[in-house]
Amino acid sequence: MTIGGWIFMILSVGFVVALAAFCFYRVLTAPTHASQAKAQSPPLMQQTDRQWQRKKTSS
Amino acid sequence: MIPYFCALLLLGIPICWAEWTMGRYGGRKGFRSAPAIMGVVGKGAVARYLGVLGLLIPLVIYMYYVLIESWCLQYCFAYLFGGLDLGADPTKYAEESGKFFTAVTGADANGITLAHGGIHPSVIFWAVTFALNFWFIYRGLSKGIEAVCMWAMPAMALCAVIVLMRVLTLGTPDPTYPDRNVLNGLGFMWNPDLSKLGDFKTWLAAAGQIFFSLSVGFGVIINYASYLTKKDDVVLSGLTASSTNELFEVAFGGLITIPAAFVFLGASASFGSTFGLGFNTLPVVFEYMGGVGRVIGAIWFLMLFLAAITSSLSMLQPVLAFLMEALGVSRGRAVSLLGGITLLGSLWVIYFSKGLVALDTMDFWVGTMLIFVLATVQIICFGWVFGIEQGFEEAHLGAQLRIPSIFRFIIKYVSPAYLLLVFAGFCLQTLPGYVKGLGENDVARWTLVLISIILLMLVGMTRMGERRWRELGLDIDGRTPPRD
Repeated sequence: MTIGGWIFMILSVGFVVALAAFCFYRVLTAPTHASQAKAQSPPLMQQTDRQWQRKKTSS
Repeated sequence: MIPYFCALLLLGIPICWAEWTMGRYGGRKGFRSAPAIMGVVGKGAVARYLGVLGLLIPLVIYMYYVLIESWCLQYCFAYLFGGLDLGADPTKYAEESGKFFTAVTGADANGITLAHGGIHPSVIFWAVTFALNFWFIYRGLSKGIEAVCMWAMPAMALCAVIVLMRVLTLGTPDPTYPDRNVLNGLGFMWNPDLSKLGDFKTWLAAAGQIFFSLSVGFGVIINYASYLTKKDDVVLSGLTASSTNELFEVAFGGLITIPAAFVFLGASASFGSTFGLGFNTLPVVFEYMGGVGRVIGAIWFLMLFLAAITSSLSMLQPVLAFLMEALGVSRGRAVSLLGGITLLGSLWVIYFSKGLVALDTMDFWVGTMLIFVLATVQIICFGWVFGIEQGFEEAHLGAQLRIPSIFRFIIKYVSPAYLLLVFAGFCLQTLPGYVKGLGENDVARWTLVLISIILLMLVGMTRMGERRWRELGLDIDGRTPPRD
């Protein structure tokens, strides 16, 4: 392991750990909203989802 | 690792943001599948038909990925019920591990039966895994998977830390090979090797690895992002998904698998297939951990299996959404059709298992080359056709985080130029060798024919979808902004 290897390893691992920590912090401290649960289905999927629901209900 | 980090910063993260943004934009227009969304963002039929690659890639990758997934299950069972015994001689661990891997994968012969008759065990594990995937996708158990991931992923991270500590304290396990020690293993992984920078194959492989691990240029993110609303944050979500992947790949993979492979198998074997590397190397590491190693091994491969299930389901979902959207069929029928197609392709891979030729052919031409092509199409559509200003405006809807302005320049100029240059260089430098290799191997050649047939079938379905979307009066060429 050369000096260059050590430097490269520490910088690389440090970078990905810091980036992940930053993202987790921002995600965990971000205000939440319930929009995902209310996401509108587009017309095509509404049609096929209704068929699917009907089939599930009847079975 | 230099090309790897260049690919992460100049390709992976920018294209990830572009794909999340395009997916959500297409979703706001009422579409879910890659061809439809690419048609909207790319404003026409050319982008729409190039978007078919966003179906072909997850579909074909699923065909061999489900097999790799079943290997994880088989290894887990082997640890639980004592089927994996590397013997008492530490100098033979690596050899025994290689033999076990060959037996599990059936890499010594084609076919699905054993030499002395009976079904090969890998076929049984593959069938269970395949059925489990389709049971999940049919039932739509997203909440169950989410709940499992909530504890499985942290558990896997904990296992990875334990394995990492063991690898870093291995020293020189085999005194007959004093050079094969942990420090040299880390050096093999991390020492900058500037001589490799002139090889386009290295740059292509690095970009392919980034795309594969971030699921960028895959057709998966574009489908998943289409379910988001304009209030959802695609910038932070995209960056978090990328950084979590990188945490596992660089901090764990880069410090565990490659150095361990060097220590136990030597430098030449460490250049081998990334799929085989972990399966060959980690059992040796677990063996060096004593009794607890068997427990860690079972947990490790179980977690890997669960993680792989979530990945393979994510590969099925874009095609499932496409079949429902393009053909207007119910979910049940779409699942049946998808099951039939993937069953045939996956059987092909498991049957032609000798030397893993079918798997490697699919992995190279689809899992590396076509991902590279789709990523290029996507970034050009986003930066040039959709427009970088409109793209950034769309990306920042609901965003808590601003994309640094330098990425306007990177997405519009650097990423496309990078991709086109590496692709052109690879085509001139290395591709002729691959094409020549195809001529010499029947299985590889017929595997390409199979991929071409699947591609033509998807193009035909897209044509049917195009007619259907037009009849429904949908804005398939992205002429008007979303109404929400």
